[in-house]
Amino acid sequence: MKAFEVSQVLKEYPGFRMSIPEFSMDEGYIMGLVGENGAGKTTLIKLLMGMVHPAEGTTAVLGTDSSSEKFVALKEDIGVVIGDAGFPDYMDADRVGDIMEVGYQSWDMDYYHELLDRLGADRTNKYKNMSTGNKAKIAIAAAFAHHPRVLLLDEPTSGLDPNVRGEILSMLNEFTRDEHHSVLISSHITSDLERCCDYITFLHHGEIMLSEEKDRLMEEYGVLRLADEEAAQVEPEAVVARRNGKYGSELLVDRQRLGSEQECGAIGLEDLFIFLTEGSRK
Amino acid sequence: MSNALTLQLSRVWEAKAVMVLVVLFALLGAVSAMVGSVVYLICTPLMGSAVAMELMTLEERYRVSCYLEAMPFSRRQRVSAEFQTALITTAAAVVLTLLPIAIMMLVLGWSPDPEVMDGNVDGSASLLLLLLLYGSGTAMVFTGVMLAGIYYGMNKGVNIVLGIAAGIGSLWLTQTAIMGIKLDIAMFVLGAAVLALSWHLSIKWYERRDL
Repeated sequence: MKAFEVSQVLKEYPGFRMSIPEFSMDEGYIMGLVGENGAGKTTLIKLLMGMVHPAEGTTAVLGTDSSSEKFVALKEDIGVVIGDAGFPDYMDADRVGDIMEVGYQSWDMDYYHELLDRLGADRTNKYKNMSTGNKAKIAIAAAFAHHPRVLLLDEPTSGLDPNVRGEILSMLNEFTRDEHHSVLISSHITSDLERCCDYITFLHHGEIMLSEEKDRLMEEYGVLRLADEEAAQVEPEAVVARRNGKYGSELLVDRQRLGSEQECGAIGLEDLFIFLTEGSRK
Repeated sequence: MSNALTLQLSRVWEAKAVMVLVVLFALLGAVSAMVGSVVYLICTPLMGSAVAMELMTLEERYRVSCYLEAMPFSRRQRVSAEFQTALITTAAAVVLTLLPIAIMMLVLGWSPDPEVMDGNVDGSASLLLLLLLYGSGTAMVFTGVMLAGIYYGMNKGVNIVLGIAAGIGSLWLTQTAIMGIKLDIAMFVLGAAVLALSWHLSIKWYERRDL
């Protein structure tokens, strides 16, 4: 079964247009969503949750159309962190748990407290006195604590220190040990996505620029840093994108099309994204 | 009771500032009724209905809506829970207002004196009808206008002006010389009609809205 599917979706706001022909992921995997601010990551997650209505097309989670009556019950199986949402200043972590317990039938208060402790969340302070990181910890614990099958996480690790981010990545990996559990996670911290994701999707100006298996992506692309004269010698078919600098050129290359005599360096997700969005194509 | 309503009711204490006002208006209403004014008395149910509005305002201010939307409730259930909460808090405010009046009547032996009630209330029964029918009707007009405005996505300032105008307009009728059981009933029917229309439209508007 597909964890989520997007089909022929069109959504427009003033100054923004999202157009996605087809996009999906099978159950049991983690997909990372990378994109600049305003690329449409939050909109995509809200479309999947039925919080935003597409002008055209359909979205579905676990085979259920996000706009259908059946989807209401399915929300019990979806854990969500929304980047631009929050809880009132006067609440503490326990009060958030109380609210969630009323909302979700399968809410597990013991598990929620266990997760808060695991993430080292402050349970005594009110929201208004909490750090951004602590608010993120509560949001993550709340997303997990009703035992969902799918997690849709919008910037869940922003504001968190590396140790806590590492703990969350471990939680995600544990979560997807069950082959019926899936995660869609957006983040600007691409190193986190490199560590935990099976698939990577680049979203740029409301469109999917690339969506591939992470390992294949890393094998497929490499980077060459050469003097301008040397760069001109590289097989043109192998060059995917180019950045010209003061001291030479950086080429994003397709390793398979590159001559075997040329060795190229590995490329990280962040560089790959910058290359594809900012570097001139060929 | 739906889970959406249980959730809203569990959050009622968050509007504690408004609830304090409700208690103050209930006491003020009883005291002012003794000296011949019924405006505060009728204001109390209206303040009670404002508890639901305050909850919605808090949701918007702290952007909680997305988390509530992620819960397994339909938008119809969420809107209905909001209207039901307003009705319950209005009813609670009416009961709260009745308490000091009942104490005044039963313990102190007080009854409204037609000579000092601006000609609006001519006995205990008409005072109670005024509170139960006219007060509730006023609250329903206010609730209907305000909640529909919020769900339509109306500018906050415009919505507040409209709500206050509806509230004051309804209350103003108590200062006219046309009070009586017919007007009490008419206001209750008008309030129920406005609320029902607002409820229906709010569901339609909110179901189409992007969060």
